[in-house]
Formats: sequence, C-alpha cells, structure tokens
Amino acid sequence: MVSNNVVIGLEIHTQITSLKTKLFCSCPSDYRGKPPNTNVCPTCLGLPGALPVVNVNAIKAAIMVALALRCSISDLLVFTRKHYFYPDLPKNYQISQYDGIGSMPIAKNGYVILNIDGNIKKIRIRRINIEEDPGRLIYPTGSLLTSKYTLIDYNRSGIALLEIVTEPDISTPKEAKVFIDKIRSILEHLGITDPNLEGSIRVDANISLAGGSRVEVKNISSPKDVERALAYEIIRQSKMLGSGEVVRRETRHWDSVRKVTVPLRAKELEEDYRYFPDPDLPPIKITKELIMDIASKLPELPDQRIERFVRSYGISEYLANVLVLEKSLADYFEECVGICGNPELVGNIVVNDLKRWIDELNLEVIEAKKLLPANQLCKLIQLLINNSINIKILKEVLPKALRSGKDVISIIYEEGYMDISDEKMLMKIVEEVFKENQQAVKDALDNPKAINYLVGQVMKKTKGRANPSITNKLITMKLAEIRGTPKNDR
Amino acid sequence: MNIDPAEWVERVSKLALINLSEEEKKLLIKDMARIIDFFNMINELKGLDDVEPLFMMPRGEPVLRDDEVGECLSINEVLMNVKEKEDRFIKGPRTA
Amino acid sequence: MKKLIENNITYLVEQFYSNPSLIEEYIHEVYEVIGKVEDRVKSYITLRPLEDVLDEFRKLRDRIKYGFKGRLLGIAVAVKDCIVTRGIRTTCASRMLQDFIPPYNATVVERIINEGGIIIGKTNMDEFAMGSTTENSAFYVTRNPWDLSRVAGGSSGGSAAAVSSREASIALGSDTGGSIRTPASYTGTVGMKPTYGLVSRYGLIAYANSLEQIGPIARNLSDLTLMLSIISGHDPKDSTSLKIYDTNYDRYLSKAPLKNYKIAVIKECIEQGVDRAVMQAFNRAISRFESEGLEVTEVSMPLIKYGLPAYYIIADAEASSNLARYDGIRYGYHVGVGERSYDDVYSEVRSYGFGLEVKRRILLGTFVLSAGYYDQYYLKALKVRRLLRNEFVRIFNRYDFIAIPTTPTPPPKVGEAIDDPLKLYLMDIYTVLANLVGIPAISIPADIVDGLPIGIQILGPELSEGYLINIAYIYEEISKLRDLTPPLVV
Ligand SMILES: [Zn+2]
Repeated sequence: MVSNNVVIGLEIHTQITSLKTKLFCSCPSDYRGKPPNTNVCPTCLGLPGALPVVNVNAIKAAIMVALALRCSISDLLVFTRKHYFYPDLPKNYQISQYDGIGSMPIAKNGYVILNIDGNIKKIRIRRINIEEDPGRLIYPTGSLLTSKYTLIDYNRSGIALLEIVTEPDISTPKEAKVFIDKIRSILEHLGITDPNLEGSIRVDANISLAGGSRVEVKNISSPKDVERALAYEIIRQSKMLGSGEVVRRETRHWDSVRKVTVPLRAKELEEDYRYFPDPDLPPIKITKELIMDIASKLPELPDQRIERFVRSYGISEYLANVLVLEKSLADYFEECVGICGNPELVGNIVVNDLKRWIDELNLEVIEAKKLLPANQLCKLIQLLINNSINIKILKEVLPKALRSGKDVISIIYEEGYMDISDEKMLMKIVEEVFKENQQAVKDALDNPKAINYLVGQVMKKTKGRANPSITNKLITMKLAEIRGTPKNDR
Repeated sequence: MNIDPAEWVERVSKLALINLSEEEKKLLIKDMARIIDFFNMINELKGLDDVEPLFMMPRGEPVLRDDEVGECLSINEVLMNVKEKEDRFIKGPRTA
Repeated sequence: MKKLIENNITYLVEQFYSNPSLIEEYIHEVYEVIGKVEDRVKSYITLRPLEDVLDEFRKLRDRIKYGFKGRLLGIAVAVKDCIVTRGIRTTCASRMLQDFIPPYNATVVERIINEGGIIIGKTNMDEFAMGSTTENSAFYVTRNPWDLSRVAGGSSGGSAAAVSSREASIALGSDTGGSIRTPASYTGTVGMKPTYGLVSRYGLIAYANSLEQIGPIARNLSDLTLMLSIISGHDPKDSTSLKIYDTNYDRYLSKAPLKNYKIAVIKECIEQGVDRAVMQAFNRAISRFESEGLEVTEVSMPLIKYGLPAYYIIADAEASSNLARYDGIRYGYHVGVGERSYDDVYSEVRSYGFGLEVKRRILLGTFVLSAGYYDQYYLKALKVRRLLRNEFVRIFNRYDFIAIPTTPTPPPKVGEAIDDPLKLYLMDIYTVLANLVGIPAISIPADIVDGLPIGIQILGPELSEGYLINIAYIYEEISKLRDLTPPLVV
C-alpha cells in the first residue's frame, strides 16, 4: 500500500451525552430505547411556529472541548441554518454553525498530538461546530440504498452534537484510528460524551489519493471501522487510478456489515447549503470570564493523565497510553493500584490480559467492572504475589470471572487451581467429616494410625485439594480437643 | 445583470424542490427579470464595503435555557397531523 | 339601545364582572353580526361554532364564581390564521396547511386565554402572510367593509375586517412589512407593530423571522393598549424576546402630551407617488397635530427608497428557509410516499401546496441565498438595513416621532393590483421601514376621504410604545376618529 500520497481529513460528530435535554428544546436527551416519536416537542418536530432556545450547558460543553483541543474560541456564538432536504431533518434545514460573513464556528484552529508507536504527529483541528442531530431513519425493506420507503423516529432530533473537523493532516488509516481513539478518550475524560452509548460518536472521513478527487465516506461508527473503511478506500481508489480510471468527487456510505463502501445516489445539483445566520437565534457573547471559569475547572485530560501515570506509578509510557485510551480502564487501574499497589504488575495485567478478555467477550469496561470489581482482581494479584497461584492460573481465572461474575476465590477452589490451605475452610470440612464418621473418630482416638482414614475423607470431599499437612494438623487438633487434652501451644 | 430568467427559474426551483407547471413558469419568468431589476436598485449604493450587515436586531441579554427537562408531546399529538404511519413511526419516502 | 360590542373592552369587562350573563348576550350579538356580514366580508377562515364558544363562556362563568379575574373576560378575539391555536385548525391561508391542527398554543394565545379572552375564530390572510391585500389567500379574498369592491389590505386583512365590521371586539395580526398597519389603514382601525422582540413570536408561523411581530388591531386606542399590555413582555420560549416585564401601557392613554413632542415628516415619503386622497388625509392629520401645538418638521432621508428592495430580499431569503419544512410528512398537504424518492414526493407536495406568490418568494429567496449571489443581494440588503437603522437613530436623536403615510394609496379594488407583483410590493414602501430597523409603528385613521378611511403612520424609537400610544390617543381625541363604523354595519 502506498501511503505517502494519501490525504485524510475527518469529521467527528459527537453527542453531548452529559446534557439532560436537547440542544434547542427541553425534551430529554436520553432518547435511546424509547418508543418512536415519544421524545419530541413542537420545536424538535419542526412544527410551524415553534422556536429554538439554546441549552446553556451545551455552550459550556463545547467550550470545554475547544479548550481540550487547544482551539481559539470565538467571542460570539452564532448559529447558522444549513439547508438540505432529507426525511430525517424536520425543518429541512439543520441548525449548525458556519465560517463566513456574520457566522463563525464556536472554535477553530486547534490541534491534537498523537503518539503513533512512539512517533509524534500533530493533527490540526480546523473547527468545532455545535449543531443539532437529525432524527433516525429505519429502512424497513432493505438498507439506506435499497429500502422502498423509510420509517422516521424523531426522538433523536435536536440532540446536541459537536462536529469536530480536522485539517487533512492524516496520512494512514492507522493514524485515523489513533486520532479517533484519542478524541474519544478526551471526550470521555471531559465527561462530555459517553462513547459506549450506541451512535454517540459518528465519523465522516474524507480521503483522496494523489491523482484523484476527494471521496467522502459517511457514517462510520467505530474507530476500528474508520480504519477499515479508509483501508478499503485506499485499495479501491489506487486500483482505479492504477488502471487509468478517474476517481471522481463523490460521497460513499460505509456498509458496516459487508465492510465495504458503496456510492450514494448522486445529487442532480451541486450542493448549495445556502448558509445564513439563524434569525431565531441572536448571537450570544462568549465572555473571557466564562472561558477562564471553564478552563479552571477542566478535569485532568488524557495527556496529563498519561504523564502522571508514568511519573507517579513508574509504569511505561506505552502502558499508560493504552490505559488512558479508555477512561474507565484507567479508572479501574487506579482503583486496583489503590487497593493492592504494584502498578507495573497491575497495569500489565489490566492491559495485556483483562482488556483482551473484555474485548473478546464483547464487554464494556464498566460492565467488566461489575463482574470483576477492583478488589477481586486485587485478590488474584495478592495470590500471585504470595506465590499461591502462578500467572498462568491468574490468566485462566480472568475470563471465568468475567463470564460468571463469581468470587475469584471460589473459582480458584472450585476449579482446583490451588490447594486448600485456608484453615478456617478446612476446619469446616474436618468438622463435617468428624460428624459423618463418628466410628472412625473413635478409632482414631485410640489408634493414631486410624487418622489416615479421616484425612482420606477430607481429601475426598475436597477432590484431593486439601493441603495434606494442614489437614493432618487440624485433625490432630480436633482429636486432641475431643480427648480434652490441652491444645498445642501456638 | 446577466441572468437568463428561464434558466434561473429552472435552477432555483430544483434547489427549492418546487415543480412548476408551464403556466406558472411563464408567469414567473415574465416578472422575474423585473423583480431582479428592482432588487438591483440596492447596487446603486456604493461604498458599502465597510458597513457591517445587520442580520437581526441586536439583543443585549441573551435568552438561554437551563438544562432542565420539560414536557414532550403525547404520541397522539405527534401523530395527529401525520397521514402515513406504521405503528408509532412516521412513514417517509425512500432516500435511495 | 347601543349594542354591547360597540363598547370598549375595558368597559365591557367591567359590565361582565357584575353581570356574567351579559357575556352570553354579547356572544350572541357577535355571532349575529357574523351571520349578517361574513358572507360578504369573508374575514374568517375558521369560525368556531357558536355552541363551542358558549361552552367556553359557561366554563368562564364557573371560574368567575371562584374568583377568576381577567382583563379580557368574555371578550371575542379574532386571531390571524398564522398564529397557532391548540386544537383549532391553523392554515396560514395555504392549501399546504388546510387541515393542520396544532397541538400547542402560541404564547400570545395563552396570554389571551389566561385573561379570559375567547378566541372565536382564525382570520383570513395572504398565504403565509405574503401579500398586502389578502388576495393571496388560497381560499378567498377578504373584502373591505367600507367598500366591498375593495380589498381590506393585507396580509392581516381578515383581522382588520373582522374588527372593523364588529365580527370580533379585537384581533391579533402579524406584521412582517406592514401586514398589520396596511389593513388597519384601509379599514379605519388602529394597528400596531411593536418593537422587535417585545411580543413573543413563539407560535407565530414564520414568514421572515427577523422582521415580524405580532400586534393588535382594534377599533380604538383604549382596546389596542389593553391588548398590547397583555401580549407584550418577555417569553423564555423566544430567543429574540426582549427581557421586558413591565408592560402596562394604560398610563399613556392621556389626553395631554407626556413630553414636549417633536415630529419629523420624511420628505421623500410625501414628495411623489402618493395618492391625492392619502396626501389630503395626511396633511389634515399634520395640521391637527400643529394646531395642538406640536412641532412638525420636514426631514430628508434619501436612503428611504432602498428600503423596499432590501426588505424584499431579506424577507424572501428568510421565507425560503422557513418554508422548507413543508414537505407533507409530519403535517400538511400530503401525497402518498409509495416507493417514491423524497425529492420527488416533496416537489409534488410543495408544488400543489403553495400558491404562486409563495412560490415566487421562495424562489427569489433561494436565489439571493445561493452561492454566487449571496454577497451581491442578501449581504448587501443587510448593509442597507444597517444604514437605514443608523439613519433612524440619527432622526430619533432629534425627534420623538416620525409621521408618514401608512400606504401610498387608498385600498385598491379587488383584482386591481394582484397581477403585478411589483405594484403590490410598492404598497409596502412606507411600512417596511419599521420592520427593517425593528422599531414600533402605529397606524391610526388620519381622516376619511371620499368615504374611505385613510391611515397615518407614526413611528417611534425602540420601545417607545407608550409614547406612540399617547400621541395616537391625543390624535384620536382631537379627531374623534375612533370606533369608526363602516356603512356595511349600520
Ligand atoms: Zn423537543
């Protein structure tokens, strides 16, 4: 693959899931799972006469993201109408932002520094827009490209979105993925977007190869798919160019099932969005004070967290990077270290073993946390440190715990990963054996050799996992107790 | 202004998704050139480069909304003007 | 005996409190008038059945028992059909919305209901308020009660005709470029376009958002002042709403000037193109003011002639955007979607649903916003708007009011101007100014010439409604031109 002539720019649409309500109306923002068209009001349904009023927290969220992406923030918030007809768009225009006379995005000219396998790369952010999400279309007789009609659910209509647009600074699909991973992590650390909510982050990718025109691939929902879609496009476009075909400017759709991009129906006219400032929304001043206030309350960002992990936990930069990619994973790591120390060991287990199983089992980190709380993982790590189990056993226990949510110690015993040397636990079994074999106990009281029978019974009950010497000791103690002779000194 | 009214009406009506009958086209084309000429009156005014366009009346205090949940419409209210629906969905045309 | 409806509202409401059964009598009276004249005048698109209105009266009567107080108790109010009313068909005089039932009330409607007002019907208008004669209604023309061969003006022609002919005590209109003042002038009523942002637009079906305001049309200043006091004031649902809370204008109904008023007359507005009858009425009004000792000065504002083209460019641009939402999917005129594409379906809906003038303005608006023409038309018009605003500020630094004719001609005959759009646009030449610069303006009867009422328009600086009421009231007192009765009613 020739990659030095590839130019990629991304548009990331991220929902501000931290908001309680939509961008311009007071409908709840948690539209997911609600019956269709039950989460709408005159404003987000585009009814004649209804008007938009800006959610003040959406502005604050946008400023937080702008600060985190090192953008310069506009001193005026201007909303612009972008006109195009589409069934998911109730007003047939989208309230968005635009860079032009009388209009401006809330922030522009920022950057993100990526660390790609040790190489540093700067990706410039062109602008950040606040805009409203359209409704959701269902394609009952096929796909977006084939369905004979659509079913519309406007519950999502009006949800606050941030559109983050990069300069065409990305040159490989891998870089694109790393970039999106980083943006996701930033958004998660800011508490703006919960990336685990379905459809909360969507990406449009622009890609062009030397000698061809720019192709836009729309509607990609995961970082992995962005990488796949771009790789697909590079192969498709270079094949075309290689055989002398012309790569025309077009918009394509990412089919996440078939893992291919397909052309969207070409528009008859060139797009003409007829942007103009929305006269229903007078410009709002963004004061220096507001920006300073938000800046002063900005939570720790991924880069700072990575640095802190390296500095105060002494873990490798690689490990820190991977942990911080997902805020919830990094949080889990810190929780574990708080309980059982050993950051290097914990970090490695979390990143190399736990994360692998989380992915394999298709879990979210937060779900995994419920199945294997930090103190549980720490119990395992303690056993490892005490040499009660080896690393191989630990690795085998992890998926079992994640699948079942059972206590790790029970798993270890049940699965026979370890001698039972817990005296309390063994004593319970010894007592059971004594109760069930009263004749044998009598024999043993007289004949020390008969003790072996009792030991055998304990072994049977524990499937041979009782620690023999401890078992012996406990039986002897118990017998001595029955005899009424004083116990051994401790 | 060199705008061919017929061509113009054709292009703009496509952008605005309005089909015009031949009769309507005739009527619109007839007056379009005159109206555009009337619009062009403002081009007599010179030296406007430094004038800031007045998009809307300036507002001192902005009207903002606290992030507090309000009431939605009932499903009956949402669907009462909808002619084609399937369950609670609104039926729409194809996008392909 | 004098009919109840001939009384001003404040007096009527007092009578209703002491004797609520009078409300019933009054309602019957109103419906009697409607029965007598409506066939010829055609003020209403939707008239509520008498039984429904009587039902409302009964509920109101019960509430009075429990201490309900309202400044519009039992008063029959007509509302222009571009203002949404919950459960009452709201058509905007368009085939597009012929059967649209809004699920919510406009803020002004809520306020009227809260004051005990009874909305008895929705009045005829030019389709989507685009016109100056109400001839652009998709349903029928509203006739002038003073001369049925003439138009009642527009676009709030139905509201003005209803008030003038006693089919309602008072009405709401909307004014985007003169749509309250022109019909008020033509029907011998008083109509005010308030300062932009004084009255909530929430629930006003948008034609040109940055220009329009809802306002009252009444038979006299006392009624107009009452209605203005009720509908004015901040609404958190409208982002363009001013944060004004004290909206009681009663104290301005004073026979004495509250200030040493200075009036400016704009020379360019009376120099040419003004009809003889209009000039006669205007001069009469000016001499009445002068005889009261008010100072009247001629001033020049050469820029004024650019107001009209600038207005139409801006209004059409905004209209083309606002009317994009009418696609027949969520409400309004509908064609079966079958297996057709969205642009196919939408084009058919919009072609059938909109009338010729609406189509014309959508096309012109689309044009002035489209790539390549935006700067030349739309932006330039907005610059003219800025210059005009500066000019008005300059004049209001020296004068309290500007007096100009409301319209250049008396009401035209039905059909006289409708075939020439430019001729119709010219009717708005003096009214669009107040909309372009956001200031309040009132039209009051200047005189009656050749049996037709002719209005004079008084403009004041932003939020000078009180003083406008004061000077208009002074004129009403000296001219005795109040509660004018068209021959039809006698
Ligand atoms: Zn809503």
